[in-house]
Amino acid sequence: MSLLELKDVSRSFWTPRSLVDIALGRSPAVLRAVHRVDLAVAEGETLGIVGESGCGKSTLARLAVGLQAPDGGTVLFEGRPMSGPDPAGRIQMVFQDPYSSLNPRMTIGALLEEVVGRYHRELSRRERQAEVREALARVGLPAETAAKYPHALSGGQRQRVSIARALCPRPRILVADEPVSALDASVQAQIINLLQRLSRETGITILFISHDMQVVRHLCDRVAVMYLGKVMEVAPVEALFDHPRHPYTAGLMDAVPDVTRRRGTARQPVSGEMPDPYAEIRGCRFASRCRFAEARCAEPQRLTETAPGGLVRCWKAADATLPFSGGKTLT
Amino acid sequence: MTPLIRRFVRSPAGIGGLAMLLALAAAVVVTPLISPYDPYALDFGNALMPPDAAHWFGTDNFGRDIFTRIVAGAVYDLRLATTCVFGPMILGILIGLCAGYYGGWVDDALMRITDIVWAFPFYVLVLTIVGVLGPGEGNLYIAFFMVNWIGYARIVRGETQIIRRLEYVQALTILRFGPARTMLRHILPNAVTPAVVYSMSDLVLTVQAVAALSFFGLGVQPPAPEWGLLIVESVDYMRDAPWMTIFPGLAIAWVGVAFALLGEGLATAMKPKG
Repeated sequence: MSLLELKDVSRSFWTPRSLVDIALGRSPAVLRAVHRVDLAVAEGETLGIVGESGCGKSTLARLAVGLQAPDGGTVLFEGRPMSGPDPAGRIQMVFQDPYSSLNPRMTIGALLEEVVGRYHRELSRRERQAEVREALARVGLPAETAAKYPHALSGGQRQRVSIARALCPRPRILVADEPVSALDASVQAQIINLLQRLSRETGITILFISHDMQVVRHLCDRVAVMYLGKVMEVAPVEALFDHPRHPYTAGLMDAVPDVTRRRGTARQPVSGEMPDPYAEIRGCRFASRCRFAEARCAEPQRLTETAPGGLVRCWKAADATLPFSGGKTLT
Repeated sequence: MTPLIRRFVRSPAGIGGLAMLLALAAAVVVTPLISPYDPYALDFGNALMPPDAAHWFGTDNFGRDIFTRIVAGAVYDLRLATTCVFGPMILGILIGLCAGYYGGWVDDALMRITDIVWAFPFYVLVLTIVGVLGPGEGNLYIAFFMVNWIGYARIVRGETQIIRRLEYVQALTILRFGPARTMLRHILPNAVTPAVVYSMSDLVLTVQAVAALSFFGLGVQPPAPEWGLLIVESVDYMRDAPWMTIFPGLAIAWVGVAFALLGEGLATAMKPKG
């Protein structure tokens, strides 16, 4: 059984209408940030969610922790539907911006101690402080960090504190929303390794949201590719990177600069911009940018299983003679 | 709180303002002990004396020592000003926090009330209240409490709306911290700085407003040596004994400048780093 399951989950945002709009009977513009997504997260795995900015991956993260309620479908945690954040704190989140994710007026020790006290009320002050030291050690920070204020820490150290805070309630799932995209490359690697170690040592389930294909490839067991609020492809990480089955996945991978690529071999990254997210698209959402688009793509596409553990939302994926395998070369 | 004090001490404006207030406080405490004059006792033989070594600020038309009266009046003005600022300030901060944190209909309701109170010109409202309830210090408090919270509610609401969206507040929501704790312990300390700074300029304005209302006969009643009253009593003698007007005026200015400088110092000290 999957630990966390999103069933037909949608979340839309409405732009407020002006009085003139209401008088003229115009319907409000709807942005379908997440549109009828089905996704299951298995116990202990690290599931990556990738996509360009604006594809709805952050909204998906907020739905997964219960920070936002879906307006369609249900989010199941341990088989039970969620309403709001888990009362026992078993799903926690690490945020993107290390500079706004810690209260600037509290020392690291004070803010961690408060969280420890919230979840382990029986502990004495001394025991709580010991717990704080342990929490810092878990994320590779020295005990002296407890006396410091957030402004005295680097971005990477702050992100470690965020992870330590998220781990205090002993969660089963850690949702990480772009936790490294605001950090330097070398610090990124440290945080990724920390998450990897946590996953290996504690078996915690990680939902890792990112736009960085390389990082996802390094960290994740399985990857879901999102585009305009829909999941386009889900596959185990090696299968996805070796044989992307959706043209969008292939294009995303080709957009990653690769210094080892031979000169003269052609890259075919996704070109153009995402279409207006407010527009109603009936058929394949990617068709307007797809190099292989045909008339049939104007029809709604279903997420179908093409390989074991792999789901693709493209009717062409069943066709074995696809020209985009491996994201490497075309004829 | 030590870093706050350390940064405050380094700000010359803040120290200057504090020193001016402490000087006034020292005068209030010491003067009754060493002054040979009673602020209320009449002495017609020495009426309208210009400032000299015996009467530093001169005497009024009843021969009372103006310096002694000003110092005694400071208690009235400071008590009125601080109560009329800090009381409504607490009220306004709580209202602003709730409006900004909950948003939606709570925000709508509280802000409409704010707009309604805001729409009344202050002095018209005070005149109405005092007209109905009669003049006096107690009714001044009622008038100020009804009006003075608005600025704080608006400032804190705006700050709260920004802070509520920050990731550390969202983390608290996921960690299931209740709204009271989130608001008071995590949002308030980061939202209150502009309100505290504003309260200092509000004190300046309120000292003037208290003096003005007493001047119109709506506030503190004679023979209390409240500064506004000192000025109103001097009006008939302004040409022959200008010191009767000038020194109470300078006292109001002294307090105003002191609070303005103090506010400047607090603003520097309370800005969080990073």
